[in-house]
Amino acid sequence: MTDPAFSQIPFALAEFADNPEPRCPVLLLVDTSGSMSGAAIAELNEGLQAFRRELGADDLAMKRCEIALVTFGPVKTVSEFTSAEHFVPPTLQAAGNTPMGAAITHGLGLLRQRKELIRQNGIGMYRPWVFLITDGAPTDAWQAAAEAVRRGEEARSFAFFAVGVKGADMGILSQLSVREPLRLDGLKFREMFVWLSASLRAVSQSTPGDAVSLASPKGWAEL
Amino acid sequence: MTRYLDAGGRSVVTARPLGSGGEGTVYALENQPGMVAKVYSRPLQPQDSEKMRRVVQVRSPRLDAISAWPRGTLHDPAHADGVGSGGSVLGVVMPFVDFSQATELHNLYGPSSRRKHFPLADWRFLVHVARNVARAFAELHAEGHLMGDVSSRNILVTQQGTVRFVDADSFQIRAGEQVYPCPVGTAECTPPELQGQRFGTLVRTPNHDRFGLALMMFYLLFEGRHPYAGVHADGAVLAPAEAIARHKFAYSREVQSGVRPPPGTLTLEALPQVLRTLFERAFSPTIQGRPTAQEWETALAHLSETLVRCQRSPQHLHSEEVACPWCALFPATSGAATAKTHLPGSARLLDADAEMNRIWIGLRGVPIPPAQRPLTLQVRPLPQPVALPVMPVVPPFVALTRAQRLAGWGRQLWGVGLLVAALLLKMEGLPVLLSLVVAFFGWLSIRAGHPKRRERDLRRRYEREQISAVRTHQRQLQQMARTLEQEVVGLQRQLTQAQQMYQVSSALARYRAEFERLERRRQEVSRIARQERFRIEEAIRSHQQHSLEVYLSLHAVQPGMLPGFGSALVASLHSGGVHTALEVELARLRRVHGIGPKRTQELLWWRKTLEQFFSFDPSQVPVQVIEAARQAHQQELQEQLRVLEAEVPGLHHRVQAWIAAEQHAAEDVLSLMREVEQRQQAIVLLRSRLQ
Repeated sequence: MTDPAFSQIPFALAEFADNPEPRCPVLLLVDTSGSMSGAAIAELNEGLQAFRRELGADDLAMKRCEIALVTFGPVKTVSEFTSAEHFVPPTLQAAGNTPMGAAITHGLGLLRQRKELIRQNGIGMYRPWVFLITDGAPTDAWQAAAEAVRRGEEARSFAFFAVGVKGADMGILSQLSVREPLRLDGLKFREMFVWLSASLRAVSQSTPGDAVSLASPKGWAEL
Repeated sequence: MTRYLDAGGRSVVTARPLGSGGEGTVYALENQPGMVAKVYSRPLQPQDSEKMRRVVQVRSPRLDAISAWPRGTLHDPAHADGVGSGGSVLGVVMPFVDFSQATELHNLYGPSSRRKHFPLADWRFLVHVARNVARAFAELHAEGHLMGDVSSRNILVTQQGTVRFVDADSFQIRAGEQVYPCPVGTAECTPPELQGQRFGTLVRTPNHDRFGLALMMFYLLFEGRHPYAGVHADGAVLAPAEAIARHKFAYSREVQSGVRPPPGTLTLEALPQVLRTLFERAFSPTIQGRPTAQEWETALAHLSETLVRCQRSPQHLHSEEVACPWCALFPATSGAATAKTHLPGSARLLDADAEMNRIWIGLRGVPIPPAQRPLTLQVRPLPQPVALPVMPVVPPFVALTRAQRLAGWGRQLWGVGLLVAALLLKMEGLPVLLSLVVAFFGWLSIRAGHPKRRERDLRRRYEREQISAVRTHQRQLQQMARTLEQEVVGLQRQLTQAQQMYQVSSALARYRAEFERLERRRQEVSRIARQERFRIEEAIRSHQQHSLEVYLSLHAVQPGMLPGFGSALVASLHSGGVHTALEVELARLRRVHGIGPKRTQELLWWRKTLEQFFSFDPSQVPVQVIEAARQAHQQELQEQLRVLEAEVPGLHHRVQAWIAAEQHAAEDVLSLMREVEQRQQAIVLLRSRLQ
C-alpha cells in the first residue's frame, strides 16, 4: 500500500456526473493491533479480497457502494470513500495498540464529510453502514465515541455493527454499539465479508413485499 | 443433469448451470439450444404454480418479441399425474438471453459504465433506446399485463439499441378476468402511492407501471440521474424511495418542492416542451394521469427526428427547439470551439446561443408567481348589523281592583232595581213602552256590571292587541329578511363575476403564457442566428447581378454588331434609349420605332448569348461586401438579443404587476364573499327571531 497522503483526490462533480447512482457508504473500522498478527490478519486480508470479489459480481451494487477503510493501532485512513469499482483491497499488517475510540471518532468524521459531499451533489443516499472489527479492548477513552455512535443511530445517520474476534472485550463492545455486538466464529472473516456484500447487494435488489430482512449472520457469527 | 417433465408430459433434461440468483438456478437444456430452465430453489406454492401455468398460457408472438417470456413449466417426474394441473411447478423453460449481447439498462445510462459497454453511444442512441423501451411497454400494456417490478435490471438492451424484458415470470399477468399480481418491487422505482406497501397480493394499475416507465425515460435522457435526487434546501440527504414518498421531484418547474436539480446535470429545459410536460405529469403529486407508453413514444419520435448537432461542438446533440444544453452545462468548454465557416474571415462572431443561455438564466431567476389558491374566508365575519324593529308595547293586562268589583256589583244591583221598577210601572198601568225601556236599561246594567264578564272582555282586548303587535313585528322582520335576500342575489352575481376575473388574472397562468411567448422568440432568434450564411450568399448573389450589369453595359449597340443592323436601325435604337446590351429589354424595344418582331428577337438572343458567356468568380467579390452583409446580420441579431435582454427586467415588472392584480382580484372576491356571508348570517338571525 502506498502512502495515502499523496493518493489522487477525485473531482467530486465529475465523479458524480460519471456515476450518478445513489450511494451507500460503508465504513470499515478494522483493528490492526499487535494481537491480530499471524493467522487473524491473513484471514482478514483474504476476507477483504473476497468482499471486493463478491461486490464485483453485481454491476449495480458496485456503482452504489462506496468503501472507506480505517485501521487502528495507530489510527490511519487506509482508503477514503471510494466507489466499489475503484476499491483495491490493501494488505494490512498488524502492529501497535488499540485506540478504538479515536478510530471511531475519526471514521465518523470521514463519513460526515462524505455525506456532505453527497448532499451538495444532490444524488440520493442509503443509510451508511459502519462496521467495527476488533479483537481487543480499547486502549484509549472510548466513552465520547460511544456517545457519538448512540446519537448517530438515534438520528438514523448510520447503522453501526460491532464484530468481536476471539479475545475482544464484548462488554465494552456492547456499550459502544446500540445493536448487540456479534462474536466472530473462529476466523471466518471470509464468510463475514461475503455476508456483508450480500447484504449490501440487497440495496439494489427488488424487494418482495413480505418479510424484508437481512440474512442471518449465522455461518460466521457465534449466535 | 436432472430430468423434469413439461406440462405435456415430455422429458426436459437440464445441462450445465449458467448462473444462480435469489429465486433459483438457471441451467442450459439438453437438445434445446436457445432455451434455458430456471429451477426455483423451492417448489412453488399452489397459487404461484397456478400463476406460472397462466403465464405460459397467455404467451403471444407480441410478448415473445419484447421479452424472454416463459415457454413452459417444469414438473417432478415422480408425480407425473399432477403435471397437467394442480401439481407444483419446479421451474420454467424460457428463451436464453445472452448477457454478452445484452446488458441491464443501467449499464447504458450511467456514463461510467456506458464507456465500458457502449463506447460509441451518444445521446441520440439514448433517445433511441428510450423510444424502444416505451414501445416495449406499449406492447406489454396492450396485452393487459404490467411489469409491476419496473427496474433497470428487468430491461436488457443490446448493442443495436433494442430492448428485451426479463423476469417475465414475476410480471403482473391478466388471464381473462383473473389477475395474478407481481409479488416484488424495487423501492426507488415504486410510485409514491405504493411506497411502504406490501407487494405480495397488491394488484397494480397501469398508472403505477407508468411511473416506472417515466423513471426509465428519465434515467435514459438524463444519463442516469434519478428524478427525485436533488439538493434539498433543508440540507436533507434522502434515499430515493424516501424522496419519492415525499413527492420531491427535483426538476419540476411547476411544483416547488424545496429541492433543486443536482449541479452538473441537464434540466427539463434541455428537452422540447412536449417532453417537459410529460415529465411534469409523470412525477406530479396529483398522481393521476401519468403519460402512457404511447405518449412517450410519440414525443421521443419527434425528439429523435429533430435532433441537431451543436455548431460549436459536434459531440453535442440536442433538440432543435432549444439552445445547446450541453454548452450551458459545461460553460468552460463552450468557448473552445468557435464556429468555423468556409466563408472569408471576419470579426468576432456573436454567439447567439450563449447569449440566450445567459439571458435565460436571468429570466429563470425571476420568481415564479405562486399557484392560485381556492379563496375562502379565513375568519367568519359578524352578521350584517341590522336595526331590528321594536315590538310595540301592549299595556299589560290588569285584574279588576276591589273598588271596580264593588262598583260592578253596585251596577248589578242598580239593574235589578230598574227591572223591579219596570215591573212596578207595568202594574201601575203606565204605557208598556216606558216599562220596556226601563227594563232594557236594567238588563244592560246587569250585563255590563258583572265583574267576571268585564274581566273577560278586558283580557280578550289585551290578547287581540298582543297578537296584532306580534304580527306587525314579524311582518317587519320578514320584510327585512327579504330585502337582505335580494341584496345577496345581487352580490352573488357580482361575486361570480369577480371570481371569473380572479381566475382570468392568475399570475401563474400569465407567467406561463409569457414564457411560452419568450420560448417562441428564442426559437425565432435562434433561426435568425442560423441565417447568416443565407445573408452572405444573398450578398454574393446581388454582387453577381451587379457585375453582370456592368459586363452587359460594356457591349455597345453599334452598326454591324449583328448582321442586318445598319446605322439607321442603330440610330433609332439609340433614340429609344437602347445604347448597350444592358438596355436590351422587351419593354424598352417595344417603344422603339421601326423595329419589328424579328429584330427584337434577334436583339434579345444577342443579350442572352452575352449573359451565357459571362462568368462569375465568387472570390472576386470584395471582402467588404461580405463583411457588410455579415455586419448587417450581426447588427440585426444584436438588436434582437438586446430586445430579448430587456425582457428580463420586463418580466420582473410584469410578474410583480400580475401578482398585484391577482391579489387585487382576490381581495375583491373576498370582500364580496364577506358581504354575502354577513347578509346570510343576518338572514339566519332574522329567521331565528321569526320562529
